[in-house]
Amino acid sequence: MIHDAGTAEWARDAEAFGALYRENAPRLRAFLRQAVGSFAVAEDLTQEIFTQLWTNPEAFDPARGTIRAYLFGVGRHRAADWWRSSRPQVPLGEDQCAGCNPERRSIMADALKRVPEEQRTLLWLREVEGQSYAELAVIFNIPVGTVRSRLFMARRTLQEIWLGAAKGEAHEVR
Amino acid sequence: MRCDEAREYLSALYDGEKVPLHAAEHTAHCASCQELLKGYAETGAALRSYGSLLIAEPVPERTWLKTERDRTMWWEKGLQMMRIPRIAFACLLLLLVVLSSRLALIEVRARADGSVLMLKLTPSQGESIRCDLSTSDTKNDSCVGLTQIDQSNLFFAVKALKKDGSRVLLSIRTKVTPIGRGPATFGPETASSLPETESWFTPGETLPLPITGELELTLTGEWTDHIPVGGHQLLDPGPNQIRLFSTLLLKNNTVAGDLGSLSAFCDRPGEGVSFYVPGEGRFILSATPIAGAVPATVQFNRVTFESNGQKYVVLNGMPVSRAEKLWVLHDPAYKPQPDPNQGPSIGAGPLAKLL
Repeated sequence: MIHDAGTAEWARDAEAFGALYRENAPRLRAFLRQAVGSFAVAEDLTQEIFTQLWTNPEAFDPARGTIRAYLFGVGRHRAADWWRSSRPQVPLGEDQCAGCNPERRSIMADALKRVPEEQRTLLWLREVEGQSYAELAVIFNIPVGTVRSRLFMARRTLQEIWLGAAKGEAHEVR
Repeated sequence: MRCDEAREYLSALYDGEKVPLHAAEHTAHCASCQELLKGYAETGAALRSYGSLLIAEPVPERTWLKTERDRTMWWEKGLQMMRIPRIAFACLLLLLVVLSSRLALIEVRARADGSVLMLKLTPSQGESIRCDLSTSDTKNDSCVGLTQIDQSNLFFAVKALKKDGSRVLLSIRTKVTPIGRGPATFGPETASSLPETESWFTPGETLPLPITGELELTLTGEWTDHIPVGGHQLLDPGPNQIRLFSTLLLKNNTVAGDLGSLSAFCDRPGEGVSFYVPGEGRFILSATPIAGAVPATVQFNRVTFESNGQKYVVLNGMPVSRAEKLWVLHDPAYKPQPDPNQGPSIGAGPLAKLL
């Protein structure tokens, strides 16, 4: 766990920043992978985000939340930018996941792909990253009450797709 | 509470967030809601399991060197953070430049195309004399004056006859007489008897004034869009100053004379100002007692006195003097020379000259 008390240290020290990178880059990349649907694009965006943080650490304001919440917030914006600018030109190929159990991966991966992008990222940050409602409110710039209602909607959507997949139904959510 | 009402809170309950008591109680006793909660746990577990596999993949090793940090310029940061299309931003900048250029042009035109000519008559000795002429308002298209320069009196009258682009055709009448000769007051009617010269004058150039004899006098000027009030005079009178500007003479609370745009100033001990109102005669205002003069009370722009049983108030366009008391010599029988029938006139100078 990276403590925010060490913010000043990672901003000054290359070794401390390396530790921050090693701990958070895999999580950020996994999150971006769900957001953009491409391992290669997620890898590129992750590297860009950390490079930007290294060259401009002042962009992170500790008063606004943790460094992890900041990274996911930036990641969410960068993913949205990528969708706006590159979506038509970059066909998403078969996602590669070395070391994943193909069967388990495909069930959840397929289900997630059918969940709308905002609900998907919200679910991911809550379930996988364990972000609190308050942190999610900062990342998505919405009130905590809205986080609660949107998470409810996201879970209901995933639940329907998940159960439908178990019954062999086709499900499309728009 | 019904299941559909409680389910909105079920997700929050699953996340360990606070939910209303009745929702929690319903969930605890509702098999359907319990089943849904179990479903959340299953999909959550599957999601976390899937996520863990993705997160477990190592990221490329990188070296973070402090020396490699670049100082990003402010404009580069702006480009990186820009949330609108750059072409739109460029168009916005262009629009701002165009708008500001138009504002600048409008400001320049307001001055260049102004209809008022601010003339300055500058003698080789002494202070400059202001003369503001309107080329669009015939009521303010001329100025006349009498001033002492060295040992001479200079009478002058300048009138704007015609404007042509940035130049103007001026009617210039001047006369120089030794001090002690000629009238002590001067008005438009008197000026008409002086020899006239017409000259084209372009602001920015210097025009030597004709018919000034040994006096060297030059004319300079600039265009503006209004006649400056009071010729940039300060509101607060200077030491020894007595000032008449756009003066009204009230007699028993009735307007007895209007001096219009005429003005006269004196600022040396032993000097005074005078004005003539047809039907009322001449009034000389002095800070020092004059034989036959009556005391007058000064209150800012008002000078109050009584003469021949009549109550007079000189109502001025600006504070008259620092003094609280002045002396007024009223000569009801005064007739201006050489034209006894001339309109209001005004003057300033040494008392010995005015008397």
